[in-house]
Parts: sequence; C-alpha cells; structure tokens
Amino acid sequence: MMFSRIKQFTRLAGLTAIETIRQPICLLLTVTCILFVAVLPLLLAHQLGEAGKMVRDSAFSLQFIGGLLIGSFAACSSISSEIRSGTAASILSKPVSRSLFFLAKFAGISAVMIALCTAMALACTISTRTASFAYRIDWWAASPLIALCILALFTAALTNYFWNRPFASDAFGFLIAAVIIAFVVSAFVGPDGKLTSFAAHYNLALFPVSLLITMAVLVLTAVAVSLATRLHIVPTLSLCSALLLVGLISDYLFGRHAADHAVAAFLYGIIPNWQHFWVVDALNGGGSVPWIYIGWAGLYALVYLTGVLALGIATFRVMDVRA
Amino acid sequence: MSDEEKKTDVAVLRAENLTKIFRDFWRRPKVKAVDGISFEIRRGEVFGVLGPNGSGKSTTLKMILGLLFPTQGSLEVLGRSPKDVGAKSRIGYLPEESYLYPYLTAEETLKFYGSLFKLSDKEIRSRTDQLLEMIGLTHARRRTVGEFSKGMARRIGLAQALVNDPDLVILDEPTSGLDPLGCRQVKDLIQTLSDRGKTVLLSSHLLADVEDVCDRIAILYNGRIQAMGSIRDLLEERHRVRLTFPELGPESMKAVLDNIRRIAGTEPDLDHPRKDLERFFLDVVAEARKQYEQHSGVSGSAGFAGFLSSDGTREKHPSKE
Repeated sequence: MMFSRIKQFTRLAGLTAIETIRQPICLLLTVTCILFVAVLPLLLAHQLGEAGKMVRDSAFSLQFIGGLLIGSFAACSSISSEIRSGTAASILSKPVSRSLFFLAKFAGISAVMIALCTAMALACTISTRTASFAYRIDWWAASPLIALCILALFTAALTNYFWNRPFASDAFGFLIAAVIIAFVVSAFVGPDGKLTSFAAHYNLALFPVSLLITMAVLVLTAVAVSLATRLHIVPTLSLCSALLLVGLISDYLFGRHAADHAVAAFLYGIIPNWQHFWVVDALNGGGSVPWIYIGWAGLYALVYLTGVLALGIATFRVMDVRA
Repeated sequence: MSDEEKKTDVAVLRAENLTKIFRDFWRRPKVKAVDGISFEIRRGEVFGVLGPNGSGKSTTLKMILGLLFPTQGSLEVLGRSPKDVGAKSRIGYLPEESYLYPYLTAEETLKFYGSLFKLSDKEIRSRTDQLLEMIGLTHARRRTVGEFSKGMARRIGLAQALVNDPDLVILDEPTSGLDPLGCRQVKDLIQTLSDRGKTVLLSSHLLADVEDVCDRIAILYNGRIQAMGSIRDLLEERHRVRLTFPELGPESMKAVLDNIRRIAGTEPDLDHPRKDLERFFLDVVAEARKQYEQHSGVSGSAGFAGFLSSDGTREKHPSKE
C-alpha cells in the first residue's frame, strides 16, 4: 500500500515537473533571469567599485521575483488549468487521494523551483566574480556562462529539429546544465586565465543567502499552489505578490504594533516575514550568514510550508472538482 | 460463466434521493443540477443516462466518482462511499472533454495512468501495448497527444479508462468525436465488457448509440429522472405488431392484406424495411477497405485487448448483424 502511494506520488510529481518545464512561459522567465544575471556585470557603469554588490543584490532580487512568477504560473497551469480542463478529474477518478494529488503537484513544482534557484545561485556567484574588479571585467568567468547559455538554447533547437524533442523542456534542462558546467569550468580558471584550485575566486558565502531565498520561494510556491485550487492566474499572482510586499514590510506594518494590538500581533504572526530570508546585507564588508541562522530560518519556513500546505489540502479535500 | 450468472441482482451502484446544488462565490445556492434522483445499477448491466444539455447527467457521474459532493442523499459505489479512494481502483472513467496531457505521447499517457494503479511495470507495459493495438494507434504511440485529432484523443481516453480492467466503467459521451467505425467499435467494446460481467454506465446525447447498447436507461430533465426502465419496456409498442417476410407476388400480397383487413378490421401499414445508415456506412467502408489497403489516421483495430476479452486471450472484433 505504502509503496503504491510512493509510486503514485513520484509519478505525479515527476509529471508535474515535466509539464511545468514544458510551459513556454517557464522557459521564457528562466532564460530571462539567468541571462540577465549573466550579462548584468557587462551592463553596469559608474558603479564606483560597487559593481559586485549591485550584481549580487540584483541577482538575488531577481531570484526572489523570478521564483514568485514562475511558481505562480506553474501552480496555475498545473492545478488551476488542470481542474478546469478535466485533467485533474481524470486523475482523481483513479485511486489517487486528493492530499496526495495536491502534495505531488507541490513537490513537482518545487523541484523545478529548486533547479531554477540553484542555477540562479551559481549564475549569481559567477557574475559577482565577473564584476568583482573595479574598471575591469573578469572575462574568464563571464564568457563560459554566456557562451554555454547560448549554446544550450541552440542545442535545444537542434534536438527539436532533428529528433522532434520538446524545445522548452530540453532548453530548460540544457540551460541548468550549462550554468553548472560554466560554474565548474570557471572555478578552475583565475581572472588572469591561469589554472587555480577549485572555486578559489568565488565568494561561496553567497550560497547560504541564496538558500534562504530558495526557502522563501518554496513558501510562496506553496501559497500559490493552495490558491490555484480555487483561483485563476491573475488573482493567484496578485495575492502572492501582495503577500510578498506585505511580508517584506511586515516589521514596519505590524511588528512595531504587535506588543500593543492583538490584531497586529496576529497578522505579524501569520504573515511570513520575508526579511528573515533576505540577509544579503550580511555579506557587506566580507561578512557571512551563520549556519545556525539558516537552521532557524529553515525551521520557520518549514512551519509556514506545513501550515500553508495543510490549509490547502483541507480546502481541496472538500472542494467540488467541477470540470 | 453464462450471461445470466454474470448479470446478477447485486447492486454495483445505488443512489438514494441524490441532490446537488451548486453555490456561488458567497455560498448562495445558484443552481440545482440534480434534484432528488434515486436509481440502482446491477452488476453486468449497461445503464444509459440520457438528457439534454444541463439536465444533470455529468453532475451525476461526477458525484459517483467522488469529484462532486452531494448536497443531499446517499450514494454507494461498489459497496463503498464515492469518497473512498480504494473503490476507485475498480472504476474506469472516460470524461466528456479533452483532458489529456498534451506533451505526453500516447504510450506515455497510458503508462502514466497505469502507474496510478497497483500494477507491475511489466503489466503496465503489456496492457499499454494491447490497448494501443485495440484502439488502432500503435503506429502513433510516440506522437504527443496534443497533435492528435479529437477522435484519436478520444480513443486514448477510452484506453486509459480501461487500463485497470475495471468492474465499473463510466463513460461520458464515449462516442463524441469518433467516426462511425470508432463508434461501432466502442459499442462492441461496451457489449464485450458487459458480457464479461462488467457494469457500464454511460451518458450520451446520441440516442441511437444508447439504444444499441443499453439494457436500461434513465432520462433526465432539469435534474430529475423523467423516465427509467429497460429499453424494451420503454420503447416497445405492445398493441402493434410488425411482420417481415420476403416480397410476394401481387396476388399473394393482396390475399395477405385482405386477410389482415378482415381479421384486424383496420388498414395495415406497408413498406420495405431499410438498413440503418450506420450499417450501410460500415458495409461500404468494409468493401472500400478491401480494395484500398492503405489508409491514413487511425489504422484498423486488431480486436479487443487480451486482458479485456472474456477468456483473457485476444478476441477479434465481433461484427454485429
């Protein structure tokens, strides 16, 4: 019984992930995010030696916003559209429980979001290195990333032309692979073009920051998945964006009144405080994010994830699937 | 097992005072789609639900599948509540609309749906092959479903509904989008399933299809059952008789008619029997197929999938006379 449930879960989650990366909008946003981060150091001017910081901040902001957009679009195409087209009904008419269906959808979309966030973290690390010198660009870091990203898209076009393979999913996969290869290749080459020890010129302190943003993106994805069981893309995206904005200024809006007002305390408690996941300023002056902080933030995210998913399951279980 | 043994009085599906009210965003009642219907479907029966658009057919089917929850009344499917996920392993469902994953190939689609049941990978592969052959899409197994015509997608839909060899098959407009050959095949398949003791519940707008295959029907209008019973009981005009015999010469015919007029005291209707259009079409296509071996789109079916036929072996497509 348990094995059967696991099998159903993995098949549904896998299919959701594949369907998500086959959506042209997912590829469009992924390409935009990664290529923008890749070329960002080349576009900056008059940065007064702050290029690395600007690239880093912009890349992480893009990871956050890109994650929100892709998560919302994926949730709606995977759940909202499937409910309306009857695909969900065809699956729920099989021995698949609604909870399993819901969780598998979330797992499938989360897998795509994790792949995207990983690629963004690597691209951000490469681009930060590219922009780390004043008045000079580290082409040994920038070139492999840009060239391999373009090659990935070209290869996907070729596989589509010769083997009739789906372009969007192939391009997504090749793009992620391209960023990983670019990261590894550049890791062994210094700014002067000479071989160095692995990742000697990368700022690896960026990864914990990206990990925290990935956690926030997963919480936002869970919210989008829960909303998508009842709403279309526009209201889902609007509500998720509003939650992001309110959560970013939660300390100001509710935090300072929380001690005096029960309503403010309640809202401060239930609205995720995204500032806990936005710690990029900790890197200024060569600082880093302690792992204990990441552990606590991870627990905070886990509590929200569990709550949001439990709420989503509870409402989905009693919902009419009307397609 | 004889037909009589297969068709038993065991109720596979029982609905009691079933009512469904759809509500708006503010939870106010919006429309009463199903209004207190009660019926029972027995094992081995082919039961048809008829009605115009908006009469509550699809809503009833979705309540049976646990996709919609009744506002009032009770439902029992295969002895369990429709909410019971376990019962669904014995149900096959073909939805009305196109609902397949457009990026999956025909083969991937069937394997995916097969993987939702407790079937081994070997069994899933075997059933996928048999079902693709049965629906005549073996040559298109690697084409994505998004490229399929409506009829081809419908065939894949029918195959996915049968992948678990269900005891209760629920078909919502099964012949929608199919050509007459496909329709005939679906009807023959329904008959085969019924012969195996499977229960079939189908909803259709096509009255001729329902008349061909159903044992009993219910006609819904405005969410209520307006008529229910066996096709024979509902359609037979018991006070009239039709005689069919080879054409006679003018004098013999006159004698027969005179006798009828004298005995019955009324003027009999006289005409030549006609083939129905479906039979005529199938004859023409069968003749054409002999002459032209090659055809495009859907290829000829190789009969029914082995695991669906009565003795477990491949069975040739039975042709109805």
